[in-house]
Amino acid sequence: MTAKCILVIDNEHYIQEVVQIALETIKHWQVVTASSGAEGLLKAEQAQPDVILLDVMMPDMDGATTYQKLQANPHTQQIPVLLLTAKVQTVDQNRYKELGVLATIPKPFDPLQLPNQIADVLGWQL
Amino acid sequence: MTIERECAPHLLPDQQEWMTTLLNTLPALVVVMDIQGRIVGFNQACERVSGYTFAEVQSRCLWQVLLVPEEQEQVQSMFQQLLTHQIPYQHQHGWRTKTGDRLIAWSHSVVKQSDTVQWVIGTGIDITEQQQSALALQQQIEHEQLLSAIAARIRQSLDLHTILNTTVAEVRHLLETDRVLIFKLEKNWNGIVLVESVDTDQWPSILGTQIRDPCFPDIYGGSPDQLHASAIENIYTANLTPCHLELLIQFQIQANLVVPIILENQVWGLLMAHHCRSPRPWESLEIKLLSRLATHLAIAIQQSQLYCQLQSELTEREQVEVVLQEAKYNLEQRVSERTAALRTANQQLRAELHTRQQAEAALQQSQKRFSGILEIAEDAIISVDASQTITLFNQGAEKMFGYRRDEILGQSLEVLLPPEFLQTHQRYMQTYEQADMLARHRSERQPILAKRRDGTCFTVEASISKLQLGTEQVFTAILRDITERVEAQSSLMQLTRQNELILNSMGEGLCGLNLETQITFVNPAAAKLLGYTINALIGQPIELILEPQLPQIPAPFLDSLTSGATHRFITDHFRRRDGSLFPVEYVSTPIREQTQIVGAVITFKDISDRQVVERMKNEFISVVSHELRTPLTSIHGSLRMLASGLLAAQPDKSQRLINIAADSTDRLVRLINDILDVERIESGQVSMTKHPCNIADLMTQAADTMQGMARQMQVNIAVQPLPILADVDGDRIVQTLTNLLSNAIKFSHAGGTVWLTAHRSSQPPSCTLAEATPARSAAEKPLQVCIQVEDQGRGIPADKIDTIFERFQQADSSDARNHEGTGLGLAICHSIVQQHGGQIWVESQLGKGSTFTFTLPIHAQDMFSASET
Repeated sequence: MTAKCILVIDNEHYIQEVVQIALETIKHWQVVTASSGAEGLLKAEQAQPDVILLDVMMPDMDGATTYQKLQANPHTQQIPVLLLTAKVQTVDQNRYKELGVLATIPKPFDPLQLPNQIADVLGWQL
Repeated sequence: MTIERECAPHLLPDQQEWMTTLLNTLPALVVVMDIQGRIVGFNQACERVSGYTFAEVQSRCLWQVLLVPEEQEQVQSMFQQLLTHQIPYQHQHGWRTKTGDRLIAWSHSVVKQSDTVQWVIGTGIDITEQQQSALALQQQIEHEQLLSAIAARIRQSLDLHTILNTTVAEVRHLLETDRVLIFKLEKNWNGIVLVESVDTDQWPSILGTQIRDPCFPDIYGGSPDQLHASAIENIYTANLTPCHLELLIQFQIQANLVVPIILENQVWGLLMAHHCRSPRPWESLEIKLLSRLATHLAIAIQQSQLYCQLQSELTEREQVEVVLQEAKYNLEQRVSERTAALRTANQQLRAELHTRQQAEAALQQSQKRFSGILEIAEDAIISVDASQTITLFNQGAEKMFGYRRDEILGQSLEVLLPPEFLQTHQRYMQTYEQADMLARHRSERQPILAKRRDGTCFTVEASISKLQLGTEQVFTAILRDITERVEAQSSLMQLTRQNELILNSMGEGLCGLNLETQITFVNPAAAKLLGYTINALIGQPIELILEPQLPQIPAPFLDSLTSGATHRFITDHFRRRDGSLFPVEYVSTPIREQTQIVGAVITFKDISDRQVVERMKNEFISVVSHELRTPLTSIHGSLRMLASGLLAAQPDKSQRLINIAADSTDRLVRLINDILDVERIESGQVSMTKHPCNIADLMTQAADTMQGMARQMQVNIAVQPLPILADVDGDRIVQTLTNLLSNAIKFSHAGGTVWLTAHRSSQPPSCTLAEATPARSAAEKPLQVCIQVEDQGRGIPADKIDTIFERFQQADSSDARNHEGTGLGLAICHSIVQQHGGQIWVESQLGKGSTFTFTLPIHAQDMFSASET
């Protein structure tokens, strides 16, 4: 089974590192990180990950805009996106639903459960 | 009778003697004539009647000696008939005797010899008296007939003229005279011929002639009883007075029969018969006739007069009857009207009577009631006369004033008035006595004071009436102790004032609605919130202040007005005068009077700020939640990984995670501290510990603190410290500087520079967030130090400039990352600067950068001190 490639777009470096260490250690997935929405778009198109973990609150280009751009790009629109966000108020949740993302993983998340959460959403057989 | 022998030759002498005796004995006339008509026999009756003896008439023709000339021919003719055996049955002819004419009724026979008439025997009866009687009778009959006819006519006709004309005509005809007239006497013995019957062919008419006979008075002036008819056979031989004669001659009268017509014992006129052709002897019958006629005429005249009178009376009566009819009709009308009027009047009277009875009954009852009321009335009822002496003092007055009736009646009213009020009362009474008004209500403008028996004064309300009874004036006052009411009114006024104050002071808007959802009351706060004047809102429909798109009035309002429900904390939007909407929270409460809902009260407040605050709070919570969660995520994730033991064989990664956890923990602590700081600083819980500090040192310290972040962000910090002393809380100023530097670094591009500079200033420039310091004179105006942090970052949008120093200003609906800020840094800076008496502001241009400036007051000696340092 080919190792999954996960693109993590989050301006928080520490979070990038924690996610990367967790996914690489637990599932040996390949983790690509991006620190901004713009970087994320490039890397998404380049890396063609199996899934994108997308932070919501980022400077310059926020998560929603990044997602819309991903969807607008025929090269990236098929890549599933999971939001990884600390903004978990009800109003935020409703907004995310309207965007059309597959799921939202609230922060703080359990890095040990993160792979399973991703697999459950995407229906991966682990 | 002597009968010639030759007449009866066959008789014997005895027989002749017997025959002669017989014939002489007969009362009838017997005449024997020969065929020549010569008398040959003539009995004694003949001699007696004719006056002739036989010897005087013997052998003379009858018709020559005994007959009247007019009849001779007729008798001769008849004699001839006798001779021819034509014997007339009977005839009559007259004898002219020696004593006058006699009428004899003859019957004849003849003596024949050999069928030849030898002798004619005439047998006659002297019917002269008979004839005269018959004539007289006839005349009498005719007279009577005339009289009867005239009487009948008088009876039948009341037309006097006709009667008189008929009378004179009939009389003339009867008397066979020339003129018959009726002469009416008038005044002064003048007269007029009223009616006349005359043959105008022969004699002149004197109808209508006025005649005055000077003899009239003599003749007819006496008593009517002595008057009688005057019959003049011949005027020339009647020995008349010349004037009378002349008068008669004038009218060609030869014989005159005058009969007075007596009417009512006076000579009314004269009935005259004039014979003009010749003198005429008037027969007594004629005179009697005329006399009787005159009587009848008098009757007729009287009758006519009566008739005329009657006619006149009748006409009068008819007129009167007409008038009476009219009068009767009018009377009946009037009677009807009067009856109707009387009936109406009667009904009215009855009604009046009934009303009066009712009124009397009511009056009695009223009097009873009045007496009862008077006695049981709580109010004092006092009457005084014109001299102000008390004449009536009811039970209520006794209670009110403390006097018994028997001891106060007859006293002056002044006993019940306080001395200070007497003059006013006297003035008032003088005016009132002379005024026309009958009743007046005192205490409308000023209180009236009364005095009790115990000397205490109290306030009363007086209703005074004036009654004129003949020459007497009575004043009655009804007094009510209004002390409590006055106090209540005072309390009410006080409460009202308080309410007004409360309503006017309320920060919340308050408006009252009636059942028609119109605004009936508005407090100043409501008017201000809505942008109207109070008067502009009163009477307006509530829709004026509601959202225009609403299909109907909000349910809470209607609910309060209908079912009386109270609705609290309803959020909605109201509309200002300028059309803008603002969020409100309102309470809708019904207004009840007794148990009936008469309206509703809406209290509302503008929750724009609260909503903003709510929103900001929610957003802050969202942001803070996010900011807290972010480092927590790193901490949690790191520790979980470490705890799992999965990295036991990877110490580098393990160490890395430990470092991450540690750093994130620090960050979390900072965040929590900031949150707590801003709260404490703004709430005044943190006081600035001021002491003289060198600004340069503070600037350097802050720059050093941010060097790490700057390096990380590849931003250069350029510091130009200013050695100047200021009385400040050093740590807080450093906090301010680090916050500003932190922002500047965050918003700068990599490779950019952040400048930290300071300079002295005596006058603050214009700023966007001015916290005005108390104005002082130029001599006293303190010096300031302006410290500036300038970056070349992306700048701040103009719409954010005004709010940038507010809490959570960066918290907005977008999810744009705000560079790890909490949104509190600038608010903290603002609070710190404000508490130092300084000002802080920003000047920024999008895309070019921002310059944050804050001032701190310093003193001149501080400046010199700093330079020495």
